[in-house]
Amino acid sequence: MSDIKKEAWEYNQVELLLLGFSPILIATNSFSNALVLASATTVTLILSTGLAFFFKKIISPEIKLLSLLIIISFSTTITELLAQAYTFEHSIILESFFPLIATNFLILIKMEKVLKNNNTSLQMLHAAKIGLIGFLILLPLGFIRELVGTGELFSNMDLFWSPAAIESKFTAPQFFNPLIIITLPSGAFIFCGLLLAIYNLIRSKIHKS
Amino acid sequence: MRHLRKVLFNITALIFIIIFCGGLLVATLYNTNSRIQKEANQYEEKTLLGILSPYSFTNSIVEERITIPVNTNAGIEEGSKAYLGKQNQKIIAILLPITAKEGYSGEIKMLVGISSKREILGIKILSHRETAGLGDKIEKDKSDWITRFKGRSIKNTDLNAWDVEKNGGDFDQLTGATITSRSIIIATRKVLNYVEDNYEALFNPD
Repeated sequence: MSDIKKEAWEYNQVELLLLGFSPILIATNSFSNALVLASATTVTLILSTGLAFFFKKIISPEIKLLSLLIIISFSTTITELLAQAYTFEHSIILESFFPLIATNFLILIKMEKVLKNNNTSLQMLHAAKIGLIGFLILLPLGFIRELVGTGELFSNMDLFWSPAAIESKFTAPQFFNPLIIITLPSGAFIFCGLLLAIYNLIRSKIHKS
Repeated sequence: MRHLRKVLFNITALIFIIIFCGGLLVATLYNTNSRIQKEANQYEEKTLLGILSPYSFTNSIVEERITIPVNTNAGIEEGSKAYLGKQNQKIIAILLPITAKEGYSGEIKMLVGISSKREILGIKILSHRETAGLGDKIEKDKSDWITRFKGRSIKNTDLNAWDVEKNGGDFDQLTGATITSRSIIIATRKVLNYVEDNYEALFNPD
């Protein structure tokens, strides 16, 4: 647990927060979208790292990038198929954002580390941890953006379970006027900046004490 | 010689990786395909029945489709297929795919459900590029504007009334999106005219 805190808060923050997840930041305009995308990224991450570990022996430096890209694209496609099978309506809403996971260079970095490092199981664990950190970043973003941008919360969550089982949607009171810009891609960057500001604030306080 | 061996080894390695990953992909596809098909059909049927509610049909609306001839005036594009809703072998509702060309920014694609009584049952916007926050209120989950067409027909709405209120019509416009509202109103009227003209061919084929 302290390791997660370390990775999420103390180093790698720019790499993780701003660049690593930027391809999928745009689509996190609701909590359920963020949940689906974060899980998809985690599945792809673990799958491709696992495959890189499996092929470690035969990947020579000359064909490294090529084979890693092949592995990533295959695992992204597999993830997309899984998403279609298990949350079909989300896969329609998020349509073009699943293939975008392939452009996430965090996965590439992790796979390279697996190839270089001899302690592979530790690297696999790290991959899972990065996925978890993805949840920690994307879920709050989705949560805030949905609340401020649409005045609703947990819409479409019923697509995970049977609609009758749970009435999860929350709607803000009438006087609340939603800010539409927040649901647009620019809203992701606004809140990303705010998140970073909060992070810096906390870090500076930690440093002082 | 050593160099050649290395190249050959790399090629074999790449082929092996591709075959293995491909096999994994095929296995996933094989295992999820039937489920995806089922979910896709269910989703399509749910959306279609949503447009045509409260009508219910004895046939499966997803499976019964006919190709209708091109009609540029009504916005029916080439190769578009209409869905048929039947009750006891009689067509009681039809869903026509329409493209409204006069949107504020480009085409608006929609599905218009029309009953055999020549009334609008419902409209679903399939795709559009209207302004977010203004023109996109034509979507059903953003505002209920689109439900205002329900029950409208050529008979109960005059030709002049098929317009926004600003121009003396029967339909209120979406704030800040008069062009969008108007293009949908007019496209809907054109579809109703088209159905009127081709009533026999659509509802009583053979």
